[in-house]
Amino acid sequence: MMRHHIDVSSVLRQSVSQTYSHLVTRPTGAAVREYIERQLNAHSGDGEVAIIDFSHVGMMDFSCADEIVAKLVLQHLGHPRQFVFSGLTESHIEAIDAVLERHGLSLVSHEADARTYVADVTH
Amino acid sequence: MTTVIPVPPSLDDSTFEHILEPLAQLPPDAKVLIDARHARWASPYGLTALLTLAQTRAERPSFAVPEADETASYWSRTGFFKHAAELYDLVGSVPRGKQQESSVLLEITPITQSDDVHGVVENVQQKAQAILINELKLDAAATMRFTMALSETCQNIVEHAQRGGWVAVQTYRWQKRLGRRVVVIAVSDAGIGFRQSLESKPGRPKTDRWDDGMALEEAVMRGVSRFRDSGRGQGLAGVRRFIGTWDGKFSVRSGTARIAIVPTWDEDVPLRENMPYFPGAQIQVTIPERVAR
Repeated sequence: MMRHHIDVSSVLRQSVSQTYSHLVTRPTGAAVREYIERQLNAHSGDGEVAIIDFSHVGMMDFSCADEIVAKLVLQHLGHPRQFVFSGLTESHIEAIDAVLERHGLSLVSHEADARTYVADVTH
Repeated sequence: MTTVIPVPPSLDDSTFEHILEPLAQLPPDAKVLIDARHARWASPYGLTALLTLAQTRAERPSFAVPEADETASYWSRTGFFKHAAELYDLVGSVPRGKQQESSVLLEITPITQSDDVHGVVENVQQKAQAILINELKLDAAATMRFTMALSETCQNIVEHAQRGGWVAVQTYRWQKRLGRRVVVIAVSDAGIGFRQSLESKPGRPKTDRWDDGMALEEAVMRGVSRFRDSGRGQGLAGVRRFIGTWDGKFSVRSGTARIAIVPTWDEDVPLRENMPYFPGAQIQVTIPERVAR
């Protein structure tokens, strides 16, 4: 299965500003998600695993969690592509859990690594 | 004729109402002088709300600077006079505030667009970490939550106010009410307020009761937003959740009402209505020092 690794921190710097280290505001979240989608579409393949890596991201607010994680998952419901959200901190997870709950979604945390969420989506 | 409105000696979210009571009786184009000569202290809420007040007036108001050097100097170090000079005719001597104030986590900063929120977050993150952990005895995770709360409250201006606003973050010892250190986020704008913002929501059901108090309940307690997108409206609701874990206080004033999440150490009421009208929204987050149980 093909794996596609995306470093969200470098997406933030390339798509919004070189100087930003935190994922805040809705326009920023939307810009990051659109950039990720373009990257995924350029390498599309059935059964692909997209690893969305938050390791180098400082803080992520609810707006960005909604724009990036919730919308990526919602837009790919029923799609063969699988998402793995890795490098998550406790506060990232808090924001993600809150926004997913709002959409009636849930992700599965990786058994061996609590900092990784796998989008085996329950809706 | 100019109406003189005195600023209380100690200006915070509660005593700011003493300014609004006489102000609400006046037409927007009435000439007013906000008289802070005898003011001795102001919270970030008080200072940002004073700037907002000027933005609500059709006739440029005047502002008498505090006579106490220490007070005027402190207000200067918060960045207050820099912005007040744009909005008021200042009366009295304004000290220079070049020296940095250690209790000011974030000096009064205008918020008009999303980039301003990024600036605020990037600026405050490192300083907040030192103060929240070393002085307020909160855990490391609190720094991220605090910055999230700051981001979400600032975004409320960008997304809903339809005009710019102000944010300030300070820490101080709240001797009178709590006897502990607190960190306070104050965000204030003179925009359209929660009621008008929610009225623009497509397909909003008409109810018998619809006023500022209900609009605040919808937005703050139930996470209702004017946007059709179901992901919207989570910011302030998220801040409300954090507040509980910190034993903090969260209040939002808009129009003629104010809603508050009230901790056990405070005697405020959860919902206050029929207050003097003040445009826009004024948000305050108060996080107290953690004490060993």
